[in-house]
Amino acid sequence: MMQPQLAETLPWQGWRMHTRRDDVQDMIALVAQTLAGGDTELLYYGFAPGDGEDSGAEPARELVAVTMDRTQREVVWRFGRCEAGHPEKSPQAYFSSRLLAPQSGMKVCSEFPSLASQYLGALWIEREMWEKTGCIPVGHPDLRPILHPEKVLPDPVARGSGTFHLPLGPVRADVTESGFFLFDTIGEQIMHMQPQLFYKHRDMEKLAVGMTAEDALLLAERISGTSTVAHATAFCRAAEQALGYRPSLQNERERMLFGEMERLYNHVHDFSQLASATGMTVAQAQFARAKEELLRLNAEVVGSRYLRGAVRLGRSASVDWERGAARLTAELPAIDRRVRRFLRLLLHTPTFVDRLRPTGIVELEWARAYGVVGPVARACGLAVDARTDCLRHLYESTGHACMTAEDAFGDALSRFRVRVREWDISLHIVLELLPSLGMSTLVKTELSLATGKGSMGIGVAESPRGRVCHVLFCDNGKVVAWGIRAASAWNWPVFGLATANGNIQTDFPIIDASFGLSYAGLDR
Amino acid sequence: MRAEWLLSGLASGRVTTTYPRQREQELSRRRWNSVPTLNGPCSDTACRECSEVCPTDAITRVETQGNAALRLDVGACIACGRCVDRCPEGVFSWAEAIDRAEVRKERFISTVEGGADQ
Ligand code: SF4
Ligand code: SF4
Repeated sequence: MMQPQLAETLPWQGWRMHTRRDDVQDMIALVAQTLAGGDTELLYYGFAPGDGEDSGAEPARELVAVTMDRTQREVVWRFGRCEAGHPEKSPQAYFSSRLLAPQSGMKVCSEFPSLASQYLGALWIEREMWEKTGCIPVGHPDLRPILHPEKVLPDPVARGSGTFHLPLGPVRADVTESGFFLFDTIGEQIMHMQPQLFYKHRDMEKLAVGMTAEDALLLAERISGTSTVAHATAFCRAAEQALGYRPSLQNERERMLFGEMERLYNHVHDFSQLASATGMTVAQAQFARAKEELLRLNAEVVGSRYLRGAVRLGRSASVDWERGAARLTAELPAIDRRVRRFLRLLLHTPTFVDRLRPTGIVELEWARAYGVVGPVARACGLAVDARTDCLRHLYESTGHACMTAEDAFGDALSRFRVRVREWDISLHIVLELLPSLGMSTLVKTELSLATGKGSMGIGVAESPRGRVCHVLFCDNGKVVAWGIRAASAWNWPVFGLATANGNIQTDFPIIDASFGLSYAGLDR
Repeated sequence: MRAEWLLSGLASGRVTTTYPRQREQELSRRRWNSVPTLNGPCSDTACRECSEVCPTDAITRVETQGNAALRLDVGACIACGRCVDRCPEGVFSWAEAIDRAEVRKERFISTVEGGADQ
């Protein structure tokens, strides 16, 4: 088995990193136990690269779960090897009902105890793990295929007189990516909603295997266009840890700045979508205009509207900061004034506020149980923000604070308010960071490749939608395995619940806009 | 409130530009990284940098009798900028056009014959 090395890097400065290898039963039990504590979060859960030493045809599967304890400041990588399955037992024997019957022809190569049976945040992850490898999470409460939406359509749940089944999608309006939603309704009331996603599954984690980290970064940038910087930053942080490279403070500052520029245009886009969902056309147009201005500003500073190529591996961006800083300081205040004016107008307009108030409520216990992240979690009053959880020492000097909602109802208005507060903070961080970038001399260091047998790294960044986490296993500078957890992957399972939480059909666009989820981030 | 909305809607005036009438104006004001373009022939016979660094194999060097022609397929390009950054001869630069449409895929391919010192 590869000997993992965990170098201390700037983003994880002062954190302890441990690896533990346990029996798979103990491992799952321990992870579930620490997650129940409340201060620990699951950063990543999936398969580690197998070493192929197993006698069977299938390489031995090893599970890895990375948890982060915020108060103890420690990250624990837990490994556990899956147990061999029972080939004589037919796959059907693992499933209790017709609804859960697996696709025909799938063989059971190994099994592991399900984490999802104790921690709901792992529900979709384990479905995906099972479908990709055939390893069965024993005891999973809802094991259904997830990766091939074109093959299986969801069954309606509510039946009886007066119930309607309304399919929506997978082709959506606007630039929204493909997603299918099955509503069970009675009259206007939504009783149940099942999202069916993964139409944009590109198997990116597999595509990167064998690539150099620098090439894989190009893939990371393209996971989800509107979270380019967050994914690239998380990937670079993971790769730099795996390759044994310590980035300079200048590098990290630039990444933080790009991250906030990304948040600015994303939040304005969400304002615009929400205004459109409530029929506030003037506000919609004005926010769309602000978004376009921000995108053009991005292009002027970095060269790319969606900030591609801004985050580099082991290097600082090739940006003329003197000019960039001048452009940003000249243009941002004017955009900010306009955005603020319309936000104030919206918050004083009853037709807008009334539509948002008790709409799409995410209950606090759901948010906890599913490990929800980003503005959706903060709207429930949970102080979940990677910038304060694990990157505090980087963001300390910028005056960043985790913005939970003042009125933590967990509804669309709370989510809107969280974004409004974050708009202020992001703008503040950008203007705060700019002078330090303009002054410092560019530190150009070439990346030194670690020559160790095997190494791994974990990178975290806060995207506009919440925490993004990348896990990377490298060998001789080449990617052996890559794991991506986008923010939306944690929030999607709750979306269906929130939609059916006492809402009517016409609330759906508002809930959709207030969640602001990314399809590509989950599908990857 | 209604008056404020009305005013705010009217006060900002027209903010859109007519396209493509003001296209040239827009392009001269903004420099965005779109796709690279070939500035001229490559005169470095030993260098293979561009074809090696291009992640999508959009650049090929075709060598015939000591003469190296460059072939660039912007249809396969993902605008990563490596060729622009790394070419020691400055053969690649960002194209001015931020919009480009062709009827046939082959039109995205451009070639230059070998260098002058050959
Ligand atoms: S910009 Fe990148 S993808 Fe495009 S031709 Fe140059 S190296 Fe290739
Ligand atoms: S075009 Fe530039 S990078 Fe490519 S071979 Fe010639 S000198 Fe080297």
